[in-house]
Amino acid sequence: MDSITLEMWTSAIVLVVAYVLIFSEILHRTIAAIFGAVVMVGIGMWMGFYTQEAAILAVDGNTILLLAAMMMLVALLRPTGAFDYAAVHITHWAQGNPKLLLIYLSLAVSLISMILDNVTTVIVFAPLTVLICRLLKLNPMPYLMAEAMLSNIGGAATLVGDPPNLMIGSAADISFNSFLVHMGLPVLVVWLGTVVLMLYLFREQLSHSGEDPKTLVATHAIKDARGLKRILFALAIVVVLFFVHHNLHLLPAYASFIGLTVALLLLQPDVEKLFGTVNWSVLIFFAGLFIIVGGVESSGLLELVGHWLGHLAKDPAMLMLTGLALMWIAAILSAVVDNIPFTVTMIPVILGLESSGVNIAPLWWALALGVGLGGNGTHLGATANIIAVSESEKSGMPEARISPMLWMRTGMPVMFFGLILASMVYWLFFDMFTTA
Amino acid sequence: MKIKHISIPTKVARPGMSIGEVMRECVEKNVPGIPFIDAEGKLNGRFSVRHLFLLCCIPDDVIHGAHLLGDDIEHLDFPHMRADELMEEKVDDYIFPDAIQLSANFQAIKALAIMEQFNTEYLFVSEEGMYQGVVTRMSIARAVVTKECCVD
Repeated sequence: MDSITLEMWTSAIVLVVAYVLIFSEILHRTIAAIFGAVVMVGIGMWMGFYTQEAAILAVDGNTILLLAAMMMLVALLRPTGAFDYAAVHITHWAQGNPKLLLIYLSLAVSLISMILDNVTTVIVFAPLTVLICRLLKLNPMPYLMAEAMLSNIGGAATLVGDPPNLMIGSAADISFNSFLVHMGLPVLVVWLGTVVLMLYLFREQLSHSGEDPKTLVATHAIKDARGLKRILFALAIVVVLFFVHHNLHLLPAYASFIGLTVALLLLQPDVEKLFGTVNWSVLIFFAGLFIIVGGVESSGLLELVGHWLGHLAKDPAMLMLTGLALMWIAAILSAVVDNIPFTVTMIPVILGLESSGVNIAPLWWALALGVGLGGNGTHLGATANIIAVSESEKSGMPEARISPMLWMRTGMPVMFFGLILASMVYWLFFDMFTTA
Repeated sequence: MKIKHISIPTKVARPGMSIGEVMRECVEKNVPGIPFIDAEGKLNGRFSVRHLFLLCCIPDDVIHGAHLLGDDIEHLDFPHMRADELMEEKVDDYIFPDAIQLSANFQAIKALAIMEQFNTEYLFVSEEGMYQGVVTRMSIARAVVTKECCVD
């Protein structure tokens, strides 16, 4: 199988058209993904390379269900006031020191992003950050940018911290612990390096001390103490299950649903309202992408691409270079376009390499690092960035406004510095990355 | 009880009027807003006291974290809170596009239901295309208390 067939060409054209519609934003990305999926299944059935059953099987249920469960858990946690409480205490601990405030807020957002969706975390923390800065008479711009960028980096450390990681982990059968062990070191190095770089880049804005942080009070932060204890208990179950899911032969999605079930039984929330908080548009977008890429895979094209690339990566000496190239290409593409379609497309290509006798483990980690770090380059690179920009505009403070150019002036150095650090770790500890 | 009997007649906001003029009319007539009539004489939105405050004085983050604010926040410096300057500004930039207009022959119960449906405190009343006044929840409540509701 060395030549491209008509079926392969057709599926590739449908994929390209769907991606052009997604990236150009001619259509909403979910509508474009549904359109692409429907066309792919229709043409695939007509030409005989894809079936409805294969399309349904192409959807990674583990990814979709885990995201849905985590969205509901966050929706249950948010109204309890836990995030507000954390933000007020962080402000008090920083004692008006702008540099400490940046480190503490970014650390909190990064740690939360390792378990919960980083977009939701930034949605909750961004307005609190502007309020804190307003009260302390500080410019919120560096804080908003730092929170978004460092949450993107923090989320890259775990299986559940970022949707691409989840897709990679699900396809490659990588456990939560393995993800943390392999990604923990590079992410920690990149996180620390980024904090130092940001303190330098924002040295002017962070040079003036803030007002007395006592203008913020935590007294009314917790709105539902009983509910908070219960949801934290459910989340603790989820986190513990994530650490042992591989030993218990549980899928991460099932582990999260066990925690969700506990939360639902303990809290008994308004179910209609709760289900309304699930971001169905994102989930359907992911499902559409899985179906589109499933069609290309069924046509045999991705296997062929994997076969071609296999010649290159089969040489052990070239494997590290292939991994580094993948990391940088993934990062640069993720800076300008949505990293999810790229990840979904690359997964079957990498899986195809395995059949050519290539050790694909280093490629998974390279892909995860690339898509995780690349989002910081531009304001469009990650949803968390867009939220930070939007919040800076809503603040009404001219000095806080984050323009696309301003983002790039900070984001590009952050992205390239992070990639250099990650590449060094990847190179120095390459043996560690050769196992999944 | 038809709303034509309980609507509060007010002036309308017109292009070029100052916020001060329009605010004074709202305060004097005790209504939360008045209609905005554009240069062509068409109803083209409304001036709303609530939306003016939202636009000028209360940023989203302050609303979001209102329960976290301590008592000692005098140093908060809202850029648009300088009342004198604000009162001199043209009303044109502070017009909210939605304006719900009801026929003067509508029953008060229907007006109350529409207020609930659109989550608003007031509606504009017109008769044969001519603006008559503002009906508010409080004007309906006043009519109930003073038995004006017994009219037709």
